[in-house]
Amino acid sequence: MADQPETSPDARTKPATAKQNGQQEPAAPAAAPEKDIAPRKLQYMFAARRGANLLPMAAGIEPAFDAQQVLEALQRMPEVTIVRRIRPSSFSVLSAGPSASQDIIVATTTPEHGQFLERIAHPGMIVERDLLLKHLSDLPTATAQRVTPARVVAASIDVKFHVQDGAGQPVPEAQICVYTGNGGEAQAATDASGNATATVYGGYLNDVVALYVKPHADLWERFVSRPALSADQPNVIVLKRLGEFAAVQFPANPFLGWGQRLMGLSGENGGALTGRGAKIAIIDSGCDNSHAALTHVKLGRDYTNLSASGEPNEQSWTLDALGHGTHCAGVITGNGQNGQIRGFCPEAEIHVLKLFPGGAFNNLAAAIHYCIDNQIDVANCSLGSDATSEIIQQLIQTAREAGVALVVAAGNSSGPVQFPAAVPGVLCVSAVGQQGEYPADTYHAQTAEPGTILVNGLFPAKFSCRGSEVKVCAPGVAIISTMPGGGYASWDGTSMAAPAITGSAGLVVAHHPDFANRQGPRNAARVDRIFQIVMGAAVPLGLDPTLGGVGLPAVPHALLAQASNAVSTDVFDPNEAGLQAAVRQGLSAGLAAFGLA
Amino acid sequence: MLECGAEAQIGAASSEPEKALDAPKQFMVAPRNAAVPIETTLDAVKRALQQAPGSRVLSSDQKTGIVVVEVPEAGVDQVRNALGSGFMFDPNAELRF
Repeated sequence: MADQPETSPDARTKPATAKQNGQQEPAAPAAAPEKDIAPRKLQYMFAARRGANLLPMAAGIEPAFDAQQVLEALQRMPEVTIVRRIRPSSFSVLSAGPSASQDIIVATTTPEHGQFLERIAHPGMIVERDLLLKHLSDLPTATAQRVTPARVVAASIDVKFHVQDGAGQPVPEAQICVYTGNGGEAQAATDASGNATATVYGGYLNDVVALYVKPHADLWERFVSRPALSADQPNVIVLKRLGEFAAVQFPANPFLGWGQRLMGLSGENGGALTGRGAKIAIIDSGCDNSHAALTHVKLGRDYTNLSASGEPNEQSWTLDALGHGTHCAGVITGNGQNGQIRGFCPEAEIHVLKLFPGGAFNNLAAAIHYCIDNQIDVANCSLGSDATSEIIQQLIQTAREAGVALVVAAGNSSGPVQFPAAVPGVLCVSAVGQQGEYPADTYHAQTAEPGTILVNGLFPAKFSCRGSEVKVCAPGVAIISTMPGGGYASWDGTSMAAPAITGSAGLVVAHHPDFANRQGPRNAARVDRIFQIVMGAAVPLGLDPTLGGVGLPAVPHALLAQASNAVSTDVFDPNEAGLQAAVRQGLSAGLAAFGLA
Repeated sequence: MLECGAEAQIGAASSEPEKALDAPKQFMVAPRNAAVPIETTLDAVKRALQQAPGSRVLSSDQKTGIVVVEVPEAGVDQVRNALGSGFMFDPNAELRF
């Protein structure tokens, strides 16, 4: 059985659409429909519990369940819609009560009200979910879901969507994903009018378990569990502007994401800590340096665009079709000017090394070699693979011995730390989230697992990979950063956590006395020292180390504490008690700013 | 065929037809001794690929010392054995974020 009762007759099935019949697709609605999409109501059945009259709590001679009374009571509840009353076809000699007590009332209501009714139900009454039936064939998944093309056409439903913002303006380029109970997924992207059509297979919109809408930029995403989809009307999805959710303090001048603020960046220390002098590589999908926050990013290579002689193109790294690299770049180096995001190292020398789309191990090898050849201090690797490679592992050690510090995202599969984050000698970063930093109707809210939320509202992101290789954690849920084309978007992932650590490591290289003027030999000890300082600035959050490593680094606080303590400590000691106290004090201030201390 | 780089990019060309299930897979070959010149690696790779019909060199990178090859699944073990312990032979796996 599945858990998807219908809410309206038209949502149960839908015949083949006009498009499938070879007819012209009807035009998109000129005016946006009024009603925003909402979760489907649940369907419940109300019936007599057999033998209830024998229950000691059954009062007097009244039957424990009177269908008419229940029907009338339910009809008075505004949250409830009566679907039908099922009467027995004939009087049973075995029934002990009046025939009305054998009726079954079917009604829909909200999940909350349904739970309320289940709780308060008289012992003589059964209140339970009315569930869809499935075939009993216990076929392997792969076989069960293999359908012939003819069957697909017959059982598909074209579901129309209209995505708009709160002011009714259409939202183009929004990705829509419809997830069905059998593991299927239908995708569509909105056109310039905010309209899209997703073909959902299976024939039952009540089998849709979730709807996810991801805008390109400047709006919050939307996640609706068990959406009440219409097969006949365009389904309207209203997205909030990022600034409509006041807690994120967007926009601001400069804009500091919750991660930057929690890790110690602020308007006060921003002027002192700029990352000037550090050389940082971003190995990713490119970087759109036409974004107002990233115009200072001038260097790069595109390993997806090689010349005949195998040399990477030196211009096309600015084209970021995926947005992933541009998003990472905002956290690492956003310039913080004129209302733009302030990254950790706005004045660092940034090298963009483009591997996506389509990057493979050999491209990563080439990018790491670039880092070695160009004396990169810190390289951000928000990437991974299910496979492993001894060649890459060996190259990572070569890079470390050449003074290149690789910061690698742990991975997003919820499983063991993936490659190359699991390679010794890299700094593996997991992701944490923070309650209150995203609207409740976004997928961000789904990344917190019940029971894992700490007293301060921080939580380990449920997608984050785990293992003893995790060295530190960083904010990786609802991270607002730069997007190609000039906007901002809120994304999740260890990919979003790693840049915060990369930026922190860049600050260490730029501002810690051990690395002043990038002095000293470039070797493994140098890399280890960078990581030691970053990890030494971490404050334990109370997470299992396999989830959060040693904790959340607050490098700016550590550096400022070091600067103010310069007389007494010629050599930075991250384990020094006074410094740890200063870091904790700084992080406490950050937490206090969030109302979490 | 010996070309540098371009064909070793997995999935970069959107027009590339879907590969059959038994289609050759990409592998990287690199010497364990980083001092071995790329020409030596290439010679060894070409000899090893003779053990697996349908295999070919896709690219070689002088900087990384890596040769990318394409080998049918049935010939993977033969190529690995032919290369011997002096070379690393790893899948040129696709990266994701």
